This record gives sequence, C-alpha cells and structure tokens, in this order.
Amino acid sequence: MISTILFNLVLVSITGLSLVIAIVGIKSVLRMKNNLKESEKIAQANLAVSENHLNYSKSEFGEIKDGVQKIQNNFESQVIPRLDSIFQNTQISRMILQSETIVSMLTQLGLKSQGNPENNSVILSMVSDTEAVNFIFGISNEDRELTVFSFSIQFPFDSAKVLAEILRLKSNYTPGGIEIDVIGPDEYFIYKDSIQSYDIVSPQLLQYTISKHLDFHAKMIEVLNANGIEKKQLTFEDFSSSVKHHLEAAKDHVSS
Amino acid sequence: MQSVSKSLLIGKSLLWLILTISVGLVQIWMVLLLKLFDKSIVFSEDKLILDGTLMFFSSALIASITIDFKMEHKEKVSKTANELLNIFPFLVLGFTAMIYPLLLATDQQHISVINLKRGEIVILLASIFYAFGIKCIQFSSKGKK
Repeated sequence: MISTILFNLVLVSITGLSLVIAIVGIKSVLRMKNNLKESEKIAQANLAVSENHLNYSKSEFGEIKDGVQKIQNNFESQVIPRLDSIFQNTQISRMILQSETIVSMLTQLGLKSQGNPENNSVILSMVSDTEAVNFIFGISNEDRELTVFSFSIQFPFDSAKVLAEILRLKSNYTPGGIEIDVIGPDEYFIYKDSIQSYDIVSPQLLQYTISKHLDFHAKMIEVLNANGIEKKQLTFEDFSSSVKHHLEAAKDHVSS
Repeated sequence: MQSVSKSLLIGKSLLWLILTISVGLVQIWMVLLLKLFDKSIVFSEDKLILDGTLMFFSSALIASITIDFKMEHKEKVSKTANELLNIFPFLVLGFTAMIYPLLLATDQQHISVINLKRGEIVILLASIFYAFGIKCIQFSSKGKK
C-alpha cells in the first residue's frame, strides 16, 4: 500500500517537473520573440537606410545639398591643406578628414550640439576606417526611449546623401523635433537615457562600434604623437567612465 | 541579423522530438509494421512493459540530452529553472535504476503490470516533455546569437 502511494507520488513529481521544464522551454522561446521584435525593427530601419530611399522634396534636398557643397568646398580649400602639412600618413589623415568633414558640415548646418543629456537627442557616432564611415546613432522619443540605427557609407561617400538620410530618419521618428548631437573622433560618444536602452542595440553592433572607435582613436593618437602633438591615449577605462558619466547625468535628469 | 520566428523554433523542437522517437523506438515500429502484413505475429504489450524497453529509451533520451546540455551549451536560464533541470534527470534515472533491478528480481506473477505500465508511460511522456523543454531553450538561445 505504502509502496504504491510512494510509486504514484514519484510519478506525479516526475510528470509535474517535466511539465514545468517544458513550460520553461516555451517561455524562453517567447522571450526571444520579444527581443527579435526589437531586432527586426532595427534591421528594417537599417534596410531602409541602405536602400537610400530619400523622402525629400527636390527643393528640400537641393537646399541641403547646396549647403553641404559650400561647406565641403570651404573645408577642402582651407582645412585639408593645413592638415596635410601636419600629417605624413595620408591614410590616417584621410580617416580624420572624413570624420572632421562631417562634424564640420553638421555644425555649420546648425545640426551639431554638445553631448548633453538634457535634451531628447539623436546621438551619432562615426567610426572611420580606410574603406568606409560607419554611423551609429539613436533617436529618442518624448518618452526618452531610444531607437538605435546604424549604416555604413563607402568611400568616396556622398555627404549630402548621408545628411539627408539622417534628417529623413529624424523627421520620421521624432515628430516633436529634436536636436542632433554629433560626436567627433576626439570625443567619447554614447549616452543613453537609461541602461535598458542598450537592449535596443544589438550587442555585437555596439561592441563592433566601440572596438572600431577605439582602434581609430589609437591610430590617430599615434600619428599625432609622432608629429609632436601630445595627446592622451584613450583607454577602454576612459571610454567606460565617459559612458557611465553620461548615463548618470541622463538618469539624474530623468529623475528630476 | 538572424531572425527566427516563435512557431519555427517550437516546430523545430517538435521535429527533433519526432525524429528522435521515430529512430529511438524503431524496433517497436518495425514489429507493428510487420504485424500489419503478417497477422500471425503476436505483439505483447505486457512483454514490452516487462522488458523495460520504454524505460531504457527514456533513460537514454534524458541522459544524452542532459549531458549535451550541460557540456556543450551555456544557455542562461533562471536559477529555479536550473535547479529543476538538475533535479529531473536524477529523479528519473534514479527511479528507473531502482525499478529495473526490482523487475528482474521479482517473479513475473507478482508484478503489477498495470502499475508498471502506468509508470513506464509516465516516464516516457515526462522524458518527452523534458526533451522538448530543453530543445526549446537550446534553439531559442541559438536563435538569439
């Protein structure tokens, strides 16, 4: 009698446990589905960018293009010769120039502001190598939720197209109007409105961007130091500390 | 970016299960198939139960999937779920390890075939649920990468 009860008890336990494990398995699939929804959104946004479908009217686009052309001409005639005289390594100087060009362009178009967690911001980071400029940027909505996009432009890139894409995404995702923060190669980028927003960016993409950024910075410092310009090497700790600082500032702002 | 739908992952886990059961119990399927063509073949469920065939299959299924899960994969599950995953194989394998020697040592006339059948079927179904759960965890983890 007792043995039958024990026998049945064990069978019930086994059945119960197996059902719980099956539910855990199904839940892990369901959780993954939620993550994928976010990833799919980003993938779709990236796809839209890569397809270069510009939703600009001819006049709007022409205006941007004229402005960019003017800045580029100015930059190429005045700044590039000066920088060329400083840098012997043309590959590195080209990388710096491309990044600097965009920062300068955006500044003169009134799109650049200092990295400031007190506004709803688009955060943009550029990482250049010898073949392309990789962009990663986020657009935060009124609820301070951040959506992060990335795209890559091969050299020689069409600056007007880059700008137009950024503005198009900005207008699509931020009906209230926001400012754009551009972080140049000398500055440390990325602040987010909350730690949770990191989930939106795929970790691989973030890691790739950070490592490229650090690589680029290291090369640049090497060249600067070789040319007698003393600059501090950016370490991963510096980078982390900068991110942490921005995060804390953003959180303070949100809580106030 | 890899994108896998929920239904596809669950379907994949079910397919894995169906293939495993199909191949793992192929001897039984063969007997049933032959029985369709030759009515003289006698298929005794009681003999199958008394042989402990289903217990061996369940044990092999649980052991292989648990060892694979623990050694090859580093999927992250909650602490409670992890405890359950640790307890379940020991519970089933311990239970079957106790039942089978008793089965051999006891005279067949004194064995309650109904109880034994219930036990083996429960263990088989539990193993199937367990395997399905683990496969879901593994496939969803791969889908995230």
